[in-house]
Amino acid sequence: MWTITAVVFMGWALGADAAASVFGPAVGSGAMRFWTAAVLASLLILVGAMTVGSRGFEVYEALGSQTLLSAFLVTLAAGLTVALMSVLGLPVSSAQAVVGAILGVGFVSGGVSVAPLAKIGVSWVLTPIGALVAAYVPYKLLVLFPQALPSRLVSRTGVIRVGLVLVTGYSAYAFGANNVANVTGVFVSSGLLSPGMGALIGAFAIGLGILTFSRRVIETVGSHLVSLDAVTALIVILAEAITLNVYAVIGVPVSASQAVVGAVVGIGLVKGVKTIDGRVLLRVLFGWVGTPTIAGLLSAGLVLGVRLVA
Amino acid sequence: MFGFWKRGEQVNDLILRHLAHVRQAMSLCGDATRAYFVEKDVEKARRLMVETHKAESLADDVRREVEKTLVQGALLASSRRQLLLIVDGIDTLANAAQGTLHYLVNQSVDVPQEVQPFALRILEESETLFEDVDCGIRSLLAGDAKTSLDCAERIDRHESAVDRLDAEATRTLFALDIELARKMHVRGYFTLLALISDRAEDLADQVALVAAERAL
Repeated sequence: MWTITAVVFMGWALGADAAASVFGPAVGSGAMRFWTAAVLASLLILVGAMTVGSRGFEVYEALGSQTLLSAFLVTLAAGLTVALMSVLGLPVSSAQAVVGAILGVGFVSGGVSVAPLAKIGVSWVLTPIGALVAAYVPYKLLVLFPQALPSRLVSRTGVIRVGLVLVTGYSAYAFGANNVANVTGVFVSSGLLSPGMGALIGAFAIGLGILTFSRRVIETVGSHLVSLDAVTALIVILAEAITLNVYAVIGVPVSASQAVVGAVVGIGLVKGVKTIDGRVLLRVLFGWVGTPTIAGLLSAGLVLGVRLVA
Repeated sequence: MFGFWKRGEQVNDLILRHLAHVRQAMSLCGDATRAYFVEKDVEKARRLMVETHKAESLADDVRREVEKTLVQGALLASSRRQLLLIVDGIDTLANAAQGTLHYLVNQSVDVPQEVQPFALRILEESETLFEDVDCGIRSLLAGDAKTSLDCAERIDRHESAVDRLDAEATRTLFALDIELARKMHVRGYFTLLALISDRAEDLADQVALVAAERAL
């Protein structure tokens, strides 16, 4: 039972951080009240996790089986990495943290399978690119056909507001479907939890993070998404949700924050604004390399520490 | 769920009502000033000043209703901030018109004949300018950013014209052989009169900013 604490911690850290990209813009723009958005997002994350979320468990199964203790240490290391990066304001990537933690434990204990890494690596690279396309196309269409949105201020604002609510709901659903595997995937893939129970516990843990700590994350760490205008934020969240949903169906957990970076770059391309600068690339590269490295070192350190004590 | 849409429509209607009250205040201010200078009927000017005050108070009431409806969650946060600034900007026009009249009528400003035409021309410019304020706000609410920007540009031109007239009035006034105290008293009136177009220019900047932001 104590091993579940790592799951709850990982889910809590993920949920608290996810709020910024899932419903931060809806709250920041005044389209939704915080508690309405938080409760709606928590419920739809549960729906996403229970309906499609189990597909992501297979990826972690392919990376190798864990014992109860190693599953605990992997999840704890990933959770600590996510929490640490949230606190430091660095881009959080839970999928990359979990993979890094699995590899860290694997290298110390042996028994890690590197074959699925190619598929995972390709998914990581394609995540921001996919989101870029998913944001570029609708935004370009809006620029070409501005009459798609009503011009009258009240009607336009109303449509955008309804759109933000719908997209926030979809984003929460896609986030639950894609990211629940990051919370309980290691336990489910090792047969320590059933897929249904894994999805349920993972979604509850994420919901706990959203309901208890996300307000503070939005207010203190904040999100660059909140400062975007409402139409741009709407399309960025939509692109993020589409990307997460596609990967949820494929069965590969990916990084929501990297999808957001890709989507923002996509909007920048339409606007003719230079958004692909060194800092953006550095953030993505850090997600690909830095996050798994930190999580890997942390999990390897935890395994070695436990061995020393035991 | 669609209560916010209804509140958005309420804000739209309230802004138009507010605009109508400010228009009335501006119009009454013009009539009162003409009564004072052209008809030399100070009593009529005083009556019209009271009417101007009433119109300004009504505008204030509607402005507070706009603020209340926006605080209740109408529109989006960014639009709320922008519209509050714009409504406040419109309101300052009525305040400026009222302030000008109070100064002129309550202090019985003795404006020399030589500079009175400048006051009347500034007043005419301000009245024409208000038509562009009205057009800018209506276009903004209708989502016609281009017309809003055109109106804002015309407001700027009227403001420049008022500045020129004000400078000319000052030169003429200080070239007259009258007491300095009287010159300063009259100068104070012109400063207040020109304030209407100054405030309209600030409002035009705000309208132009919102119109530019509306474009994708």
